Amino acid sequence: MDHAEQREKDGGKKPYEPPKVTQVSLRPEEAVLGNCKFAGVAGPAQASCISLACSSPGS
Amino acid sequence: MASQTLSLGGSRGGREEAGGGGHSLSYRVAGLGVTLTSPQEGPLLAPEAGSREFVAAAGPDDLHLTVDWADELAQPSGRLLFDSGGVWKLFRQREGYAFSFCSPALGAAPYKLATVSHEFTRGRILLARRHFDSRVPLQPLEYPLDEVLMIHRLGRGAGVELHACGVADAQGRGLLFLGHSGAGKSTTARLWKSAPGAKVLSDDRIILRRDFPRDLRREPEGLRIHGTPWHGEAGVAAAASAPLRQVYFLEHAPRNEFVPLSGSRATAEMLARSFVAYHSAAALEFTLHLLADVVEQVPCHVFRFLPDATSVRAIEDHGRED
Repeated sequence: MDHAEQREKDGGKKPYEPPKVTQVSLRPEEAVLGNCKFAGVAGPAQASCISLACSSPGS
Repeated sequence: MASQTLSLGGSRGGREEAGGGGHSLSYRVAGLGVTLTSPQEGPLLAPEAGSREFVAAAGPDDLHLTVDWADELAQPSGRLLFDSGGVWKLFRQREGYAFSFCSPALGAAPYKLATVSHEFTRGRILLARRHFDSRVPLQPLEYPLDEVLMIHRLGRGAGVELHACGVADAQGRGLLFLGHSGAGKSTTARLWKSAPGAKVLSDDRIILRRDFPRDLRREPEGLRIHGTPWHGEAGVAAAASAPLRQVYFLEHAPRNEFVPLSGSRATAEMLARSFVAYHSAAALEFTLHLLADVVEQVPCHVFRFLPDATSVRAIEDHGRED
């Protein structure tokens, strides 16, 4: 059965659905790997953290 | 040369004496080998605690980096390609790329500078000596340089890093649980850690690559998810991999429920949970094609889940239904 026959069997054309825009949430502060991943262990002042540079929590 | 290797899924790292009088550190993540070498008077090299499982015997390198001290570092010349808004910036240079790392805590000058070739196969890391204790072994690739280099390398046709928890279930099927921070990746990892026969690959970062057969003349046979050293709050980082069989987007909910996604929506949601070199049109194009292939080959659902053991059973049942 080809597509036309299938459509006929299903009762005609598939109803038109206009294109729609869907917004997808981005998290740029996570995506660019800019900061330390762990809150509470960031920054050179933290004895438990070997990082020199992290200053804020990231992803 | 004192040699130490750090491997994702390979042999245990260890020190061994070799000629040359310097230091080296090798590791392997998702099949990609990285080796660092420094001269005898250069920085002492050591893997970070969470990366030891990935230390590997020195072997074929996909990326070889030399490491040394610098008395002072300046911002690189060349065109600014990308500013992360955090500690790193990327510059385009005639011979390749330069990543500079600055922190307000350490002044305006970079504390670290990494230059890499156009192909991301070789490079050099310079560390501003005054910010480091030269007697203490360090990992010059410490976060985020390690991941930043990896996502650039992957974007050149090798794969993509995803914000996801990955699991190999008792049947060896790779399950991908994608989510932004707070979506439930670490919770999912903790729940699957106690599932008989299952292995958690990572609770926060998964690398997805095409699964090439041993015979490289043949076409890729599917998609494979790999653990990485870059774990999340659950601290799970395994040097292991599994063929990808299901993709789930995590959402907290009062009961377990699966919601199918259209192909376009699944591709977009996956891109939103990918780490990509956004400044590179070629990397974005490659990544979009790869993710579109994932959606075409693998069922994708939103998994609205209850954070207890019932969610593991729901996934197991869902796998049987499919």
